[in-house]
Order: sequence, then C-alpha cells, then structure tokens
Amino acid sequence: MTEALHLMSREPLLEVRGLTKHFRIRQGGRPATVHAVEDVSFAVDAGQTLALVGESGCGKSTTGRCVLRLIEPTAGTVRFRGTDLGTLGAAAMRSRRRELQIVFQDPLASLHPRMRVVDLISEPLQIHGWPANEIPDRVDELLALVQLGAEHRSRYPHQCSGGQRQRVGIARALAASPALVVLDEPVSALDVSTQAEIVKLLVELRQRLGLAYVFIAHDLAVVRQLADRVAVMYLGTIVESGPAAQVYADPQHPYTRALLSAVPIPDPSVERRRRRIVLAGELPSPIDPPSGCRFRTRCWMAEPRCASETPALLPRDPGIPDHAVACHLVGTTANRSPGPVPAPHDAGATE
Amino acid sequence: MTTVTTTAPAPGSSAGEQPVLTIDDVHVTFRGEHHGDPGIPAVRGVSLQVAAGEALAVVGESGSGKSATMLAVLGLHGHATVRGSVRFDGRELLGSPESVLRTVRGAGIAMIFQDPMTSLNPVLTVGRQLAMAMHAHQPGLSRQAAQQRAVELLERVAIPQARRRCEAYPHELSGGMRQRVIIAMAIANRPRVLIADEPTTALDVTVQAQIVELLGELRRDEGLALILVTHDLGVVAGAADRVAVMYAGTVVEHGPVDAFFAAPGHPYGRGLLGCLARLDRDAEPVPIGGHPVSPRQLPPGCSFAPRCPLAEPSCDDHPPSLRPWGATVVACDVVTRAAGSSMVAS
Repeated sequence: MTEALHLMSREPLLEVRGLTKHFRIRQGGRPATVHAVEDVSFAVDAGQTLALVGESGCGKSTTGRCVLRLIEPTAGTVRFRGTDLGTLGAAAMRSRRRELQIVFQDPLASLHPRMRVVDLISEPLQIHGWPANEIPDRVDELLALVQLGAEHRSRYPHQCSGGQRQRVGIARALAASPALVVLDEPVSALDVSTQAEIVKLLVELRQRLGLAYVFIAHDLAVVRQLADRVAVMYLGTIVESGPAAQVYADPQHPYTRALLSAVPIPDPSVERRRRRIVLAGELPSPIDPPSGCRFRTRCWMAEPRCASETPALLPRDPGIPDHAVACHLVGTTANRSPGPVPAPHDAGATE
Repeated sequence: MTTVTTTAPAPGSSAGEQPVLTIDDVHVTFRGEHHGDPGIPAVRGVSLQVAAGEALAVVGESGSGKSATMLAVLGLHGHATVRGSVRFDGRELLGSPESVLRTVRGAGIAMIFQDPMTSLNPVLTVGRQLAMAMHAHQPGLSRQAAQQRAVELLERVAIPQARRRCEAYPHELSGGMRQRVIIAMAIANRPRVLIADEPTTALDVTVQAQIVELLGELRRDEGLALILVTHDLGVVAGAADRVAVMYAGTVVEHGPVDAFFAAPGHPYGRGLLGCLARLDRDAEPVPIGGHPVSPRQLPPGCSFAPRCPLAEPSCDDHPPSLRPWGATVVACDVVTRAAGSSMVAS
C-alpha cells in the first residue's frame, strides 16, 4: 500500500510548513506572548517514523497538537494527504481525525476512569460510524492487536497496570485504522521493562499496519529504537533534522551534541572515559527568546553574528542533502574539530 | 550546633573503610487495612552499608521497596512496622525516640526527593527556607550568619547570582534550579550521608547531567556518603561505586558497578540491563516479560521465579539467599550453583 501511494504521488503523507504557535498570556497583569513554536517545518511519508525530540518546553508537544488541530496554530500550514487541514470545518476535521490519531503520555489521565476497557475501545468506533453489530468483533481484534487478553475487556483503567493502560490507549488510537499516529511521550511514565514492551509493540504495529508515527520524546535512547528521521527541537525551533542514524552518528548542531552527550550510558567504563558537554545556564524564557539563534545564550561557540541573524535550517554538507542544521558555525573549524570543549562547559574529563 | 561539624577525610578507596551507615536485615510491613489483614511486606530483610565518600546505587522498578527502605532509615514511615537495625555512626536508629531522630535527620543523614517542587514551601523565599534548615540544628546561629551561609550554599551548588536568588520563591526557579536548592538545604548542616531518592527523574537529560555532576563533586570534596535511589541504570553507571538491585522487597544482587555492568549475575539484573534502550549499542532491548509479583501474593520460593527464564522447580522451595558470584553477591540458587559446579569442573 505504501508503495502504491508513492507511485501515485511524491507528496508526503503529512507536510508541516512554517508552523508557529504563540500563546497569549498575562504576566503580572500585562499581556505577553509565549513563542511556543516558531516556524517549524517537516514532512512524514506514509509508513515512516519521525521523532520530535527535545527537552521540556521545546515545543514538541505543542507541535504534535497543532498537527491534529487539537490546538489551532497561529501561522503555518499542516497538509495531510495534500489537504490543508486548516481549511477544514469542524465536522470535516473530525472525520479526518479517523486517519490522524494521538496517544498521550499518561494513560491514567487520558482514559475515562469510569469506563471499562471494552467501552473505551468501542467509543472511537462509534464516533467514526462503525456498524454497531461489527463493533464487538473489532474490539476483540484490537485487543489482540495490542496483545491484551480477553480478560481485560471488563476492567477499569485503575485495574490495569501502566503498560496495559498504554495498550488500551494505543488500541483506542488504532480503532478507526488511522494512517498516522502522533505518539506524545508514550513510554515516559513507564518502568524500563514495560517501556521495552511498548516500544516493541509500536514497532510491530507499524510493520503490520503500515503506520506513520510522529514520535514525540525526550529520551534519545528510546527514540533510536523507533525513528527513521529525527528532528531536534530547542525553544520552539528545529535546530537539526535528518535520518536518525546520521544524526546520532554525526550530530552537527551544538545543542544536539550536548543533548547526546548528556544521555547516560549504562556502562561504567564508557561513562568514565566520556567527555560530557554540560550545558551552562538555564533555558531562556519563550516569552522573550534570544534574538538570532535561540541557542546562542548557552552555546560555547557563539559569535556576534549568532545574535543578529537567525540561522536557517539548511543542509550543510551537499553530500547529505537531507541532514539539515540551523547553525551559522557548522562546517567551520571551531565546530568541526572534535577537540576539547572549553571550560566551564567541559566536565567529566578524566585526564 | 554540636551534632556534626566535622567530616571524615574522603577515603581514597572505600575498601575496608568503616561504614558510616549500616542497614541490617530491615523489614518494612505496611499495616493492613482491617483486622486480620497481615499487611503488605514492602521490604523483606534488606542489608546495605555505605562508607564516607562512597556512592551506593539502589535500583529497581516501581514497588521494589527501594524508597520504603530509605524512609525506614530516617524513621519516616507513619503507617508501617519496621524491624531490623539501622546504625549511623555506631548509633542504633531503629526504635530511637523522635528527639534523637530529629538530631540525625538533616544533620547526620539528609534526604532529597524526586520532585523538588513538593519538597519546597511555595510561600517562603529560598533563603528563608535555607535559614530554617540551619536553625533546626543550629538554634544559636544569628540571622545574619544564616543569611551569609545561605548565599554560600547556593554558590556551592552553582546557582548564579546567589545573593539575589535567596530572595526568590520556588516557583520563580526552573526545575533544575529547584533541585539545586534542595541539595543546598540537604547539605546545609553538613550531613555525612545523603540519600537521594530519584533526584533526577523529574529533570531533563541535560539538567540531569548537571545534577549528577554536582552530587559527584559533593561526594569527592566533602566526603559525603551518597545513596542514590534510582530506576535509571544509565545514571548508576556514571555516578555510583556499588549497586544493589532490589526486587519485591529484597536485594537480589549487590556488587561493584564494573562487575555488575560487565556481567550481571541475577536473571533479574540481566533482564534490567537487557531491556534498556541504549545509545551505544544496536542490540534490540528485550522486555523482561511477565509482571512484578504483588507483595500480597509472594511465592513461597524465589519471588522472581514466575518471570525467570532460568527458573527450575526447586526455585519454588525456599527463598534464595545472597551468595558470592564473582565480585558480586547474587540471590539465585541456579546461577550460583552453576558457577560453583563450573569452578569444580575447571
């Protein structure tokens, strides 16, 4: 099916262009604007997984919600199968959501506590007009798909474990056979062993159903298991994007490098040898983001130019056209050299 | 003012060092809800010790009893029966009166928790809360001296503009900054042991790196004994000397981090490492399978046996005890027996 789509058109399944979301708030009585997402663009092909990664407040979840129009973008377009979702009315958008679904981080908060599993999974089928007599069979099929036994049918969310609840959340999202699922930190609230189970399930489901995922996560090690492409976000903007293997093996943006170096590796001998880039300072406020490059206030290479010009997200190496970086200094000797990172950012060096 | 003002010099190595805190065969049972309910055995015979300047990591999944053990150390369990022995600096803490425990909490053994926001008072400035922590153990300290020391403490935990930050309320600080304030409060009375219960779990990974770095510095510079309670084996590898793995209220494996990470002995320890997604390896994580046992329905033998790939019928006979296995100790009869027989064979 994926193949056929490709032959019909080269258009991606989902195409986001210039997505911007500003929240108007009042701060100390005065109106202010939170620049949550600023000019974000990406595309996802059918059957592909794009990971949006970054830390708290980088705008990854807001981006995910704007894609589904759970919140309205301030600017920019979201095209799904060529249709600009922003032009759809409420009813048309609702029926479009049959193909565009979301799984949330905390299933205990996103599942109705007084509905049984069978009702939770039936609900989206009813909403999308599934014939009533076929719903019980479809529920059984979905339970099997997410590997939940029939004994779970009549349980309430609080009677299920965290992993089981997340399976229910996934079954709900898959009920109406979507083409794309936004996964918003789907394993962050789970124990490590359960995380591995859910990631394995997501990989299997993608293969079986040809699903495309937008996988929103902060855990780079988990993302690596699942992502075809990675977009790294910082303070509302994408600072680097590319094929996952490429970004992990050869991160270009200073923030991506710092982020990857901060991920702990469960091997004491590796940890002792590692040179960790410990970022100095704090995440600036999205109410008043830095001019130019938003990362410059914490960047150890920043130059005057970084404050005046906003770097565009562009391929920096003509040999790898789909690996794009938003940094003026990538490719310059300062960034290329793997030499020591100047103090005080340099920590964990053992020699 | 008098409790603990000097710290032992940081040892070059923890080997042979007198432990500053010894937890010996501690049991914690949460009381039953009604008459005849035997209660929930959350911790079942845990023994651990930590020396000055040493870092011990206690790892396990939710419900393994790691936090319950640490709360027992400080006598913070309200509705649980605690048995066993906890010796701090040669003194028995279990069964000690509240008045004695109060002099130990904070000044001898300090504890920090996962969520810094719930540990801080939202309506008091950071400086005021630091001063309160100091006055609890040093009632004679002048207001001015406390203020000065608060600034020093914030500087010690690398909070920029420390003097100004003393006037800040917790909500004005970022998550990482709040956890630094909590650490500053924890070291305000120069404790000898710091118990950090999931100190980085609520934090972003770059902030986590900063906090782990800070805890390591305090350990090296002040000879603090650190107990790091965490579910994150990645953090353990970079921050601890020894690791104890807990499952269903017992320690199932305990040893130096290098030995554990190179070759975990207990099937649960192997499972925990095997299910990790990691940056440095391509191997696909393998879930452990099954579910943790309910502490209300513990099997008669090994509590991991129902999930264990190596389980034999004899595992259900009696709970295994910790036996030497290489540089570590492991509570698994199958593994330790196999090791014993291979030694005989060779």
